[in-house]
Amino acid sequence: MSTIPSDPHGAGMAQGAEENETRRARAALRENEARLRHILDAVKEYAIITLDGEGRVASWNRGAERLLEYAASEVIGRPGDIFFTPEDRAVAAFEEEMRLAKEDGRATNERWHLRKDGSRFWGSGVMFPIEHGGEDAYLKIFRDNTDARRAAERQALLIGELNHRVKNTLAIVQSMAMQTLRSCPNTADARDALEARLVSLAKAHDILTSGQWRGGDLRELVVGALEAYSNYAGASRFRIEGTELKLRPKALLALSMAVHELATNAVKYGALSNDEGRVEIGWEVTPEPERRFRFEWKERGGPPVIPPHRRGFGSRLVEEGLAQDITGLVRLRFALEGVECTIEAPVEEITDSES
Amino acid sequence: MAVAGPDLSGRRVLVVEDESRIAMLIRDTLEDMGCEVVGTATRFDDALEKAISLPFDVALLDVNLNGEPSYPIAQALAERGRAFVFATGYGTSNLPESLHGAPVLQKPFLRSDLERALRAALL
Repeated sequence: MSTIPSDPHGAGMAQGAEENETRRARAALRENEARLRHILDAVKEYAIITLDGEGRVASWNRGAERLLEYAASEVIGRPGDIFFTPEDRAVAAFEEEMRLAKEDGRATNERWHLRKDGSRFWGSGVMFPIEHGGEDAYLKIFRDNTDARRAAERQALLIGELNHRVKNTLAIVQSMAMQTLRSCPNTADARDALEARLVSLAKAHDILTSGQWRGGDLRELVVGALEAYSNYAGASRFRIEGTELKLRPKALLALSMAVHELATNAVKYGALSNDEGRVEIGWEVTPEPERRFRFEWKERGGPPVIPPHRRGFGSRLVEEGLAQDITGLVRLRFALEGVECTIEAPVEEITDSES
Repeated sequence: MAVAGPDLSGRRVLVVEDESRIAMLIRDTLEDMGCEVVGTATRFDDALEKAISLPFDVALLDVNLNGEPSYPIAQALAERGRAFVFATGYGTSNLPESLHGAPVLQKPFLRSDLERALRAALL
């Protein structure tokens, strides 16, 4: 039982106190609401949106105005998928998000959204179910996470590209191993040849890696490829003359392989197999409008050349492989006075387009 | 393991591969298997032209030709009812929908993988 005051004055006072209480409560409520509004609007980085049970926009904070470029007055009462992309709308992604939020208590929101001007940003956030006056309602909070999204996309792309390169390199190594084994008469020769080819491939990769796989300098390639032979035969036995030329990765790998094969042959049978032979290496780019790349390898002073009776894998690599990789012409001549190799290609096939 | 499918000897093959050393290995392996390599192509335009004009029983198509996907060539072959096998170092997940189910040779490959893929394409 409640106590009913018997004193009429007391009752009047109680009534006044009740009114005061209500006024204070209302004021507190207003103040609280203003504070919440203030908090919501101060969070400029986040769009904070409430939606009614049908998915229509019920409230839209400053962050949402800033992020999506719609004023609250433009969107209140409109369907909440207004900033969803056509492809997401086609699969009812917004409705699915509401369904998940209701069923699981939350739904993640990771997708491209549209600003008022049609431009896109990557929205990251969540949707929660809330109850409003006994009705279903939803709260959606998200922010612009485009930079992180783009970084993740770039990374995925790089990993895919890396995977491709590794697989491709393994396929090249497989090819070199198989062909070396087929073409060498005995295991010892095959072992030496394969080892040298792999080391040469690794060196070419070093040049590419140091240039972040955008290409590398031809002189660096030639000097690098001949380094081992210079140490062995003496640097004075090489004459290297050519302009600075930045090669694209594929041309660099192909030329490096060809120089390696030519040098190996010179050491075994050619100008570097005796004490006085020399190798002249030169290249140029012919003037406009032709702009062709010409490269020459010329051996002199070695023992008289006996043309091989059978074309080996090394010759095939130079003649077929290189020609194919640079879309050019390769001539390998076993002239009596020394082996000569001339390489010719349109300069745009072998150089980095940016250089 | 025995490889099922039609006999490969005497089959004419078009090889489309942008990496010359891999192309050489493929060609030698095919010749060892008794196939006849009727042409090789390393670039998209050349490959498309050869795919349309050369006589062959099956084409081996590198998926990535200097950064350019070879799918349009595969589609042209499919439209003409000609057999082909994709060769790729990538997974097969990015194949266009119309080409799902095409035989795929993963690089690097075993000789028996190549045989199996060609036979599947010729079935």
